[in-house]
Amino acid sequence: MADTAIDVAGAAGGGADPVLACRGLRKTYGERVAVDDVGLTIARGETYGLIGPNGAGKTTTISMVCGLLTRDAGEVTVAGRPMGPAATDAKAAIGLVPQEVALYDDLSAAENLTFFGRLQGLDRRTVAARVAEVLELVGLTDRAGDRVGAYSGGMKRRTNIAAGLLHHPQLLVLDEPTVGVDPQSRNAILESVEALGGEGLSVLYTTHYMEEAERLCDRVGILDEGRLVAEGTRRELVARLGAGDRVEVSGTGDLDAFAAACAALPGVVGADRRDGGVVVRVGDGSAALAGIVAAAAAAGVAIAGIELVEPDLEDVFLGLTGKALRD
Amino acid sequence: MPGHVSQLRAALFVAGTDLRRRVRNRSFLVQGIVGPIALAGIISLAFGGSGGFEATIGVVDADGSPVAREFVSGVIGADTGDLRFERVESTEAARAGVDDGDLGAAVVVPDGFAASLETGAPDDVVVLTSADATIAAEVARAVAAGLTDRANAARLGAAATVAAGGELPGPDDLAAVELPVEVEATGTGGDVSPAAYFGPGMGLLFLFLSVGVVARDLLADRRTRLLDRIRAGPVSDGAIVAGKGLSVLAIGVTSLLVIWAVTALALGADWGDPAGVTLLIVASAVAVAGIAGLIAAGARSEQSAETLTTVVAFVFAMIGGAFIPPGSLPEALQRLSLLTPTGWALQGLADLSAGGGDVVDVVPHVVALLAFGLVPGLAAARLLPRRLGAG
Repeated sequence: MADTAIDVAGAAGGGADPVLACRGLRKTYGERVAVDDVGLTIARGETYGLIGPNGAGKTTTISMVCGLLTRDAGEVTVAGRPMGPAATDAKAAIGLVPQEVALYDDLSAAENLTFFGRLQGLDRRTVAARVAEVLELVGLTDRAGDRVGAYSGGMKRRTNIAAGLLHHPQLLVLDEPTVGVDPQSRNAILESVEALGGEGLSVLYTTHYMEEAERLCDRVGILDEGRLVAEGTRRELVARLGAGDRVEVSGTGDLDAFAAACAALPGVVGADRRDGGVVVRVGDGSAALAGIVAAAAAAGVAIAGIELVEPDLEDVFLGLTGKALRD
Repeated sequence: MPGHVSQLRAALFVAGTDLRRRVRNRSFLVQGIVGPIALAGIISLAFGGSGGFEATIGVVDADGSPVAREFVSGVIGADTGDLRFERVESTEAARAGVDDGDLGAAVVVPDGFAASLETGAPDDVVVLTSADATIAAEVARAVAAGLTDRANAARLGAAATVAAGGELPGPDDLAAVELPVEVEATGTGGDVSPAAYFGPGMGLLFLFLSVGVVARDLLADRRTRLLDRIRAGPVSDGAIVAGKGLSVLAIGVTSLLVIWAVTALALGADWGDPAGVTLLIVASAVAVAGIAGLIAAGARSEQSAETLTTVVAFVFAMIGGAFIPPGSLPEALQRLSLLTPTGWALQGLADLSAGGGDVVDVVPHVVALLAFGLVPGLAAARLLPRRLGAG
């Protein structure tokens, strides 16, 4: 783990009446520690992203959150009810959308949803109405009677999400719902999650795609090797890391002189030559733009393009763990 | 309201959905109904059709002596069920009948047979056979041996009389000696028809294969995290396991009931006392469900579940007598058949079918079958939740 890890013990979030509250979660398999001392809270209506590379412990964490795994240590409460493998009251407050398409291929979407709805305790009439509603939500009303096995990958994924929404859960848990999905379906899924968050549903969203976390999540927790190494809003994480903006300039001329001139500008942390241009690392990119353009002119560099890049979660993850997210 | 489903209802939902899928993907139809009936029908035909062993054996009296007449009338009058003896006028006619297949075999008492008994070299009784009717040939040989034994006994008695200074008896005296003519029947035990025996045998074999699919599906559901989705709801692990068990039970009972009905109506098989048969069917399904549960709990993957199920199904079928009735096997193997639920079920059904037994007669079989189901079933109930992922 990187030395820059942020202490999450006092991380804000969740409010006074969180939908999900976890503390000190730990799970080991033999000698291997899969999850170690993970704690997080999710407030009502909040979308929380749990991000980390494959094998970081995301699925193990949400398995404990959902009562699928017994935990070696720690506590989980969902909607104020203690969670465990036999905690049916707490489980009723959760809608789980597994990473895999967890549906019966030889049944239709309507039959699948009816089955899961009845298991959630919905009566026959209510489940029929809810099946129609969630199929409408994911845009599959006209294919409701088709066998899921005949669906495209994207349609299966949308039905997979619909199954998690049937019983109006207080917390929707989505485990990497866009893995292996085509761009169009992926966008449809992200829009659905955005809409659900907008309607006040609490969402726990795991992913290793930073752009999804940035787009959807109010707060994110960064998980690495089983430990939650940082937690907060994107802006908070960037600020805590101390990373600044980047101004990426492409052009022709004496790029070495231009880089040296940029490095001498006030507020600039450093400037490096890149293929066909210079990358300037600066605290506030907007404030430094005018000086950078002037330095280019002074160095005789003809600017072909200039872009201000704010640091993202990928940078945060790299800064915290010393490795890229998709390693 | 959401979150308040009784665990019994949850188990019924799981079982109902499982059954719907079996019907939808036709695995129940193929493995539970069509497969066993087709195989049972084929094996029944191979064993001589649904009516058991039948043959007509010709008997020729070419001698015309009192001894030959007495022998032939004794054989013709014997009550031997589906084994019939028919008087034939000449050896040539008997030969033609055997060659044409009208007769399974023929026994010929040759001309001069009685007279030859008084000489040092009596004539042989002739048996005409066909390679197509081996069992009839064996029966004919046994009948001929019976006549030869009777003649030898008479000759021995005559020799003893002469040695003691008495007079040699005449042909009429020999004919008056009462020696019973016996035809010993060998078969699958009593009058049980092949369809009534092999129907349930194949049903049990396919039942194991069919429920193996359920065990495999359970592991597939765990792999695809479909089980996680169910377990993340307000449903206990016990309800899931109970639901799967109920599904297997329903498949087993329905499959065997349909096989019973079809073999009875289409093949004329008589399985015996309906109450006893029903009890044995339910107990057999319990046994299969328990064993399938243990396989699902012990298998590491879908492939290993399938392999284990197939091995168990065929071993139980072979040892239990689904292919060869235990009565046809060495005694050690007959005892071994009682180590399998298939053996207990088939012996119980054979007792009902052939022996005319009733519910009371199959109580030991039912108890044994329930033990075969409950012992592994209880072990599976403890192991399966851990295997489902709660550990």
